Amino acid sequence: MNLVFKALSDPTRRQILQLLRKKPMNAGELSEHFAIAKSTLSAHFAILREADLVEAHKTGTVITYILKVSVLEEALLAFAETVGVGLSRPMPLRKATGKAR
Amino acid sequence: MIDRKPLWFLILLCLAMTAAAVWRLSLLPDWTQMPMPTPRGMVTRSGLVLFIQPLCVLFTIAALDAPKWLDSRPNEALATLYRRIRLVPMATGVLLALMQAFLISRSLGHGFGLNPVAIARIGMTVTGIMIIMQGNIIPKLPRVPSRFAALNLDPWQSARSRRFAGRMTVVLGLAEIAGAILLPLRAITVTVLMLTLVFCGAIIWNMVRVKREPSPLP
Repeated sequence: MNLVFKALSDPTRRQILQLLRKKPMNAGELSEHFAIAKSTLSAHFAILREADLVEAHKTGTVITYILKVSVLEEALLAFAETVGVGLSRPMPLRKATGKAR
Repeated sequence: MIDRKPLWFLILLCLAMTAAAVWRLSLLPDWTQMPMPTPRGMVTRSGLVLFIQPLCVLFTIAALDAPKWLDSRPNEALATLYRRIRLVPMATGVLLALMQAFLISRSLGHGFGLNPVAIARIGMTVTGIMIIMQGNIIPKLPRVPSRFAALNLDPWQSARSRRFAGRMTVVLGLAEIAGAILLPLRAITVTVLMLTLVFCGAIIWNMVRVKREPSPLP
């Protein structure tokens, strides 16, 4: 559950989940919606996959992400979105991923 | 086949419940006239009511084995599915065993201090909680390819369908809890049954609708 809270605490990751709610997207399509580096986005995907919130499907060289949230996680996502968790003080990705650059 | 541990647990539970029912009936001169105290006084019921719970356990085993029958081949997804839901059959079995124990003890004249209406309401509430817990994990369950083309959804269609089914099941559980608390006992069963049928219909309708839509997956 900690992984889910960590994943949902970041507005970018929440936005990714909101986009995936509409349709499955690959990394390229998702990156068009964000003004951040692809490597940063890739780290976000890793966190979402680790929390089991998205499912990755590989077709050739393209990885398509599909939303995979339980009902409770969906409610938590909506709550975090409404309250705006992490909006005032965005969590540095280095800290969120736990990896040193 | 479902995981071995829950399967053996359910089989043993079913045997124990059947043995308890047979033992109780053996004490009666006429098995069709089992005394059962109710708030309105003593009534007699057919001894067959004691076999409903063991039959429900058998039905649970069959229902859990259904994905295996629908599946086109043994695969990892099915094993994951059974791993994820292994607590469901055990919880269902325990609930049914408690109901059986309550029925037998009542027919033997014990537990008069317990209010049967309150017990029924508590049972309904626990069932509602179990339904919510099951519904919550439905979207997380792996996609199991089916041997029937009509049931075969691609990963996106399957994810959408399961998300909808999960939400519907959680709402059904909440409705059951609300009904158990607020409705008169006679109305609960009918209401829950009607809601279950409506929600199952909605889930199937959504599955058909999703399958008809073109998939955005490459």
